[in-house]
Amino acid sequence: MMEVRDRALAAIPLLVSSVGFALDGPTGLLVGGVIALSGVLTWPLPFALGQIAAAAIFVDPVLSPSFALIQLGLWSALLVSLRDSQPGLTPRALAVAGGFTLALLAGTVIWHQSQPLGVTGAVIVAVAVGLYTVHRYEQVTAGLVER
Amino acid sequence: MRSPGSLRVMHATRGCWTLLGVGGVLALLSVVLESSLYVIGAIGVWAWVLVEQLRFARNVRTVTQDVTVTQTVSPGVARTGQPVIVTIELESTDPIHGLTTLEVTAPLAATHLDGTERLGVETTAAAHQLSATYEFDVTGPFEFDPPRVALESPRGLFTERAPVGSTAGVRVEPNAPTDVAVGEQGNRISLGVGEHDAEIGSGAITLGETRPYVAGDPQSRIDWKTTARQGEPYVREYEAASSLETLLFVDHRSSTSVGADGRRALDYLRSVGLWVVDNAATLGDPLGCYTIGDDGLTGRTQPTAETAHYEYLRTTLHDLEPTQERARGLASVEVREMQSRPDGQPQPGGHSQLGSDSAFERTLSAYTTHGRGYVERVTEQSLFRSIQSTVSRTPGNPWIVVLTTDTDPTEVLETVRGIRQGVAHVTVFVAPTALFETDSLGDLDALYDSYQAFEGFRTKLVSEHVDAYEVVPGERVDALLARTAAQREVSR
Repeated sequence: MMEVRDRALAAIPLLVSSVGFALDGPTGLLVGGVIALSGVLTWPLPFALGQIAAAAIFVDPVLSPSFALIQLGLWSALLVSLRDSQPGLTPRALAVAGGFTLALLAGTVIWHQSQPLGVTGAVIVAVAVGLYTVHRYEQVTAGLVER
Repeated sequence: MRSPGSLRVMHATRGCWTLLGVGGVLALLSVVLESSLYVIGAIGVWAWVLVEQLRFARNVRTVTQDVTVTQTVSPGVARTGQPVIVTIELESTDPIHGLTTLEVTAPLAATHLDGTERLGVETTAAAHQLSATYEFDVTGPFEFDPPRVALESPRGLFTERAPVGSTAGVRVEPNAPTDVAVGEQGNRISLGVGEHDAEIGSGAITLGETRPYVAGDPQSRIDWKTTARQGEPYVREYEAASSLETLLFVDHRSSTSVGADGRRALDYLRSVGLWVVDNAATLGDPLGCYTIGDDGLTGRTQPTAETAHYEYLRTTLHDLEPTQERARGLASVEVREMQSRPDGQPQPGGHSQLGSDSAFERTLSAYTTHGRGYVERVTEQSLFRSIQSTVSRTPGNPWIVVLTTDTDPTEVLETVRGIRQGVAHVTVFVAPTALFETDSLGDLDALYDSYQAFEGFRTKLVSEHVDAYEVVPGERVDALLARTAAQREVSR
């Protein structure tokens, strides 16, 4: 579980995203408060709630500075929430996971408007393949299965 | 690939599936509401799970490959029923993260006695250790598979059980002596299964070849004419042309309990008794067996030569345990003529302990005749009186084999003198009790003197025209003779 210090660190970018919500008006202020309070939940549920709230509030999000602030806060909080006292989060692992995520995000932003179902399906397949690949990697390196 | 049942693969916990489901809901919303923002949220959640999985995979690799695991089994060679201690040590230069349990993978034949089979780990440390004690009831080589560790990811999304380290073996031997030595004054003889000594049988005798005398050959076999002719001792072989009835008397009185567990005098005498049974079975000789406790005969099996009979005798010998020391003030002679039979049923016409022939008595008699009670009680000198009474009632000219200890040399001598006239031959196997005492090697001189005294006794037996052999723990006698010889060499 996350330690208190790590949870506090993740709360800072979450507050930044709450400010982004508050900049959009009274409704955003209320939503921002809820998102700030959601920091007590298990991660990454606050991130998911923040994305749902952002999708509900912003109709044309790309041009909005407050939306950019929200995304910056949410993604930063997500990244910080991975931090804890245990090893394993090497720069290489972060680079691989980050590259994979950025590729998915880019594809989604570019093609989702024209083909929402296809893009969503492609994302699901890509994530499933990623999870299975890591699973096999773990099995082989632990000597549980042969290559 | 390893068998699927032996290990569980990386296990995604309910928390993991919940998060994947949250991402799935977001992805569904993105399709239904045609908004890419939801799928971006899904990507974030799934990516987060993926990073967690990646970290866990790396930690599993670190534990299974980089941590030093030592599994030791002590002792490497154990006897049945002897505690075997398994120790597992995990050591690493860095703290071992995510470890939840460490457990022994014991073979099915192992019975857990004491210690921790499964160690729950609650704190992160660089070393962990567990120790468990087992015992084995069956013999053979056994292997403790590599210990298993259970690991959990930091936020409890994934778990894994994996083997670490290597196997450790233990060889379990029967709780019986393996160094039974039969012979004369430290010289071993081969009991060798083959032609039995026709000289001692009642049937026809065929004179065989002569051969040079070797240590252990009975003096009575020396062929004096050939010896005089050749200038060195020669013995003559005999071959039996017919079967030889043999009566085996096994002393299992309290005096045979001397020695460590599994290496008592009785255990060694039992080995010789089993050889007698095997030999009789091989030759098809009728064999009777009489077991003698402190208060008289505890078992009586008439001689026959059936296959099941030999098997019954083997079981009888295996089941023998030393009886309790005689209780004083027993009735002078209580004879219960109840014949023990291989099927465990009382002999027809025999008297039951219950004293009547009612249906009730007949039903219960099947139970009261089981166990090692006495079939014939005597007040004193149970060996002498039991053998005397049995031999006197046995027709024919049987070979008498007696397995006993030197606890009461006079009784053994009297027994031999009393029976040798009416039988074909007498062979006595005697276990010198001094050599079985657990701390006897502490005082070598005293032990050697005891051994010499025993040899004097054995020589006396031989002078009574019987074959007399010592039954000793071979390793102990070898050690005694070697150390005594070395001491005397030094003192010169």
